[in-house]
Amino acid sequence: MKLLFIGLLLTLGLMIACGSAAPAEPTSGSAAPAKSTSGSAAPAESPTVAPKVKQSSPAQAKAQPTAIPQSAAQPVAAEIGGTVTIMQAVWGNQLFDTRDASAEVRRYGQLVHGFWIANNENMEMIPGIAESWELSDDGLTWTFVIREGVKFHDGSVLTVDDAHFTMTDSFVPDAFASKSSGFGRKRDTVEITGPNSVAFTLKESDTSMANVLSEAFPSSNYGALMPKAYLEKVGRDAYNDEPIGAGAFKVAEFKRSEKMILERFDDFYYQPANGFPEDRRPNFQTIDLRLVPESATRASAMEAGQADIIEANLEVQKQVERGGGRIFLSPEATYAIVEMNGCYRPELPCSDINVRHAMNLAIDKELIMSELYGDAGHAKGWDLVTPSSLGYTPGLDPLPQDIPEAQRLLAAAGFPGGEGFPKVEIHTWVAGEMPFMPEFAQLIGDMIQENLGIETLVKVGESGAVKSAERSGGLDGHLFVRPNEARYDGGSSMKNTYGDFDGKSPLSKDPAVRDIVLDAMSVRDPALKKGAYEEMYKVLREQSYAFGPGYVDLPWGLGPRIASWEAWPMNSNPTAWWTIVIEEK
Amino acid sequence: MAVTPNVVATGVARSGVLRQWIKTSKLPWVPIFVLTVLVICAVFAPLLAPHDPADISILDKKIAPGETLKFPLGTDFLGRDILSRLIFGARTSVLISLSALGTGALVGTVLGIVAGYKGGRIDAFISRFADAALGFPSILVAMLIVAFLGVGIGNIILAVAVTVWARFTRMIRGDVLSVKQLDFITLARVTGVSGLTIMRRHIFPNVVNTLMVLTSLQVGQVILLEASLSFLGLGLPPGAPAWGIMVSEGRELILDMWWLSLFPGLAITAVVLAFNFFGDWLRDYLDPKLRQSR
Amino acid sequence: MQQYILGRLAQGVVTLLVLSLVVFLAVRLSGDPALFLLPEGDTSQEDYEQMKKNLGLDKPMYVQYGIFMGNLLRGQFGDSTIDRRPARDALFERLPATIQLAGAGMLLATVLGIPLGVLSAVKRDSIFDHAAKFFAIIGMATPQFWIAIMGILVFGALLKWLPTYGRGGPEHFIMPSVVIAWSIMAGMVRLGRSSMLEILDSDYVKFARVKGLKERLILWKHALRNAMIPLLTFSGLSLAGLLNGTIVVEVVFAWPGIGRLLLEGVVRRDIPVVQATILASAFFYISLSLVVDILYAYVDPRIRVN
Repeated sequence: MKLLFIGLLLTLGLMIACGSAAPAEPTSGSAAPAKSTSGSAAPAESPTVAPKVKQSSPAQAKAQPTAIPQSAAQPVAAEIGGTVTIMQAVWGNQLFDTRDASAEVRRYGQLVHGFWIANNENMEMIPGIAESWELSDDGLTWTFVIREGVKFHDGSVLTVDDAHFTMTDSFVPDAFASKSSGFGRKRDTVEITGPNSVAFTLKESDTSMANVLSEAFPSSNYGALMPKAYLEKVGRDAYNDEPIGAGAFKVAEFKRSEKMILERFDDFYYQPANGFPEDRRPNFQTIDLRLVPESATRASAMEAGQADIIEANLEVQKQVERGGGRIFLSPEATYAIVEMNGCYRPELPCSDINVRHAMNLAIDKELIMSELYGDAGHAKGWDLVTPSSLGYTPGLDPLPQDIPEAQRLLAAAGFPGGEGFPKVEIHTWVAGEMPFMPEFAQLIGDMIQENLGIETLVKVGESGAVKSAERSGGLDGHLFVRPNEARYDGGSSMKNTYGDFDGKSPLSKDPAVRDIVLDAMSVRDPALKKGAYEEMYKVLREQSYAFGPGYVDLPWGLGPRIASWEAWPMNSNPTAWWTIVIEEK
Repeated sequence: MAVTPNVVATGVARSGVLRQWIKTSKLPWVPIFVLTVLVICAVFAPLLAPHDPADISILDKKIAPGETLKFPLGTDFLGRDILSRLIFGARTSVLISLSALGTGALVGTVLGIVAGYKGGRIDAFISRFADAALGFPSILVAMLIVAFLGVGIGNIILAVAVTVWARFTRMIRGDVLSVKQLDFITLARVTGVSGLTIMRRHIFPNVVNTLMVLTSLQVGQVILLEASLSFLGLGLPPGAPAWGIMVSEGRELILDMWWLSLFPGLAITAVVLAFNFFGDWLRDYLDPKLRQSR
Repeated sequence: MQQYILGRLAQGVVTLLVLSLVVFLAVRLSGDPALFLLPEGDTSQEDYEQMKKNLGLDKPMYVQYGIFMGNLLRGQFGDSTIDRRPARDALFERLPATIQLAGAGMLLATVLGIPLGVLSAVKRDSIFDHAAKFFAIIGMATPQFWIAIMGILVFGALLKWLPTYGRGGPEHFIMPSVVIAWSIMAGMVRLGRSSMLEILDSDYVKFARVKGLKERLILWKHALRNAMIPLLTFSGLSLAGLLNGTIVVEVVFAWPGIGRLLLEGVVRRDIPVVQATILASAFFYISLSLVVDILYAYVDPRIRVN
């Protein structure tokens, strides 16, 4: 905890010392005048040397990866060395391209790719490869201005052609990645509107596109920029075997389902030489990424000193500590939400707000979060609004348990002591991202039953089956407990749930609520957005269609070689790698 | 009324067995003891278990064995009593084994008898089918079934039954082939007794021995299969009172909360060994060749 | 002899065909694959129809089977729905790892198990005999994943003698093969022991002893050779158990083999991958048992006559 605080202070100091921070908002009006440099034209020929990525056989597993020739823009800092070994549990479909990468690809995709929009540690959007971006007045056209001098791993320069190519190649209806295919369906045109700007026009308004294209978006690699010339030359399959990107690390070796060796890319664009306030290149040379699905094995590897950073859980804490390491909680990884389904139907008891409030107040959320998740559990926030999310205030925290009031409300609704109330089922599934979901549901059921006299029954199913039951109305009148990845901007999710009566699973069909959500979503001035979201969330929370017990942090195991690391909140992949400091002991 | 060959044959067989048992009662006492405990736990679980196995008691979590009498074998990380889960686990194991083996044995035996007795094309077809099924590692089959039909106790039973029937078919068929040659069978056939009756009344009782031996030898495999499936996430849901899932849940805490995995692990090993020794003894005991040499 | 081989070959082919039919039906009868594979959320009836077309599910069953078999014979299993690459690529990428692992496990089980069983028979009823039987049987009665995790904990984390995970040089093979071998060793030991006992008690050997031949010679030359037959059978039978064991070992040791590939395919409903893996495993098992049967027939002429 102390380290985190000091680290934050240092980062803050650094930012202040380096002068004005980069603009967080898109500039209004036309794009900034393009600087005329000779390097801004798209490379007419293929890159200088294709990087050699080894597909080595097991016998050569220990061989050194070949050095990749670079066109160095500045002298490489002397004495950058060292390897960090990171062990992960899943790699998704192990693709690198933006079109088809699955959600878990984040775990390495963020290291290898450069993104349109970057983020700061508050999860706010800041310029990345795009200097600026804006949404047209009619809400249909996003225009991005690409900065100059960004390089791919093979030395070629990233231009607006690559940006254009990324959009036309990745955002197609039959893309595997869900948002890529979503953008593909809504896509109208993609046009180069200037030497450095590209415009993406949609058939219907989508105010969240920039957020999805930002580095911190918690899924897949939607914002990764693809190298047009290289990809077209080698083809998509070969690209995914030997990828290049514009990110902080180049792929030196990739053995599917086993390991990835990533090397520091000295020309990574995000460095002070390019005008950025901080240097996001790592302080070490190599990341050795390993896929180890079994958590007991990861813990033993850490204890044996064979891993520096592992995806862990609280159970293996002692083992990690025996290896000289410690558990580090990356904040706000997953939140849990209890939803009452179908309560817009007047014949169901939960259509009465008193009933919903009663259930809300019957539950001791503090107890559940602290007992099930220990230090990693927090009874804070509401639904997807965790402390680092846009629009969070402490006023959104869960209501503390109040049994007398809960009972009074239930009686006022016509069910004193729970009499006459139909049995309530609590549906959930076993989730990888948040342990103990069935037990979570069990505790909620027990509390409702004990305190309100309503009979409850927990039903654990399979996530696919439960979700489709919810969509088809099979859970109406019952509770649904589910976990989800935390995110910065939950607006579009609220819109789906409260603002779209014909959508897949609305919780409410109250027109007044819908209007509030749509109003908040239409605010485009970022200065006003925060306040608007706050108000919206407050209203939604009052409705108690859904109430959030809280969120959990993600435990990482850090070995003794890792002196410090300030990972960002709301991410389950290695973020802020430039803050990792190794201490060779 | 003429004495039917049936009565003569089995009458002789039955009294012979009885005589043997009285003479040489070298019973494997330890396995029998373990199995008796197992059955008692399975049948009387609700009476024997001090707590409800699914009872989450957050304030009582992570208690080590021997700390309090209330939880003699300790509790897990959610406060569930280990002893109660162990006792109910016996019930789950017996339930799964009985149902799965029962089904598999039933199907397998019927097919084995039919194949052995009828011979010819039917035999060839059934045997090839059984060979194909035998070649399938049980985990693969279970995974396929769980993948497409979902998780749950019913599907595990189905998965085990599907992997196990072929073994019965093969062995029973072998047995039938030798019994088929016996005189009283030929006599029955010649006197016009229907095939079905012959299979049911004459052949079946003579393959029962093999059936029993095979069943007891397979129980261990069934229990271990449930454990492996639970570890892979394809078995029973976490929190269910079953030994396999208990061992799997405790696997990250082998040193720190050693009682989570150790007790159910010991239970599994003890029961598997007991069934194996018992089955071995049963086979030796019922083997006519060895009977001669006693 | 040739007739026997041809006969067994034909049987093998038939078995594979039956299996392919079972796999084909299992996938299609247990729910609608198109529904499984649709992304959640904004999917319309159009998307569903499109998905069906993509998977070729809009044609009648027998046509689908024809296409399926045609592809199979050309070695095409379709494209993985998750990885967007041919399922065959993933299969061939990871097959060698499993073959190495299974081979090592089998080898270890045989090399350790048979001599152990033979020695048990020779030193019948001694402490050694009991200890060997006990050792073997513990391996058979304990869940494999537990043995694996314990091994990693003790030898990897606490003693730091061996690597805790992964595929690599010889030291990476030790623990995984031991885990696999231990579970099938019990059968080997008991078989070795009982065959050896039978032979030691046989008239043939007694006669040789009477003739005054050295004990050692009797043992190794005559007895062992005759024990090969049941051993071969058992090896064939334990192959299935072998494949069983490799899945769990691959998961715990992060070994990149097809066992894990199958598990991932099953969990993610990646039908082409599941089909490819199951059929590949079956193919290997059937081929291997064919080889075993032929060797068996070669060694024991009586089988050929049957």
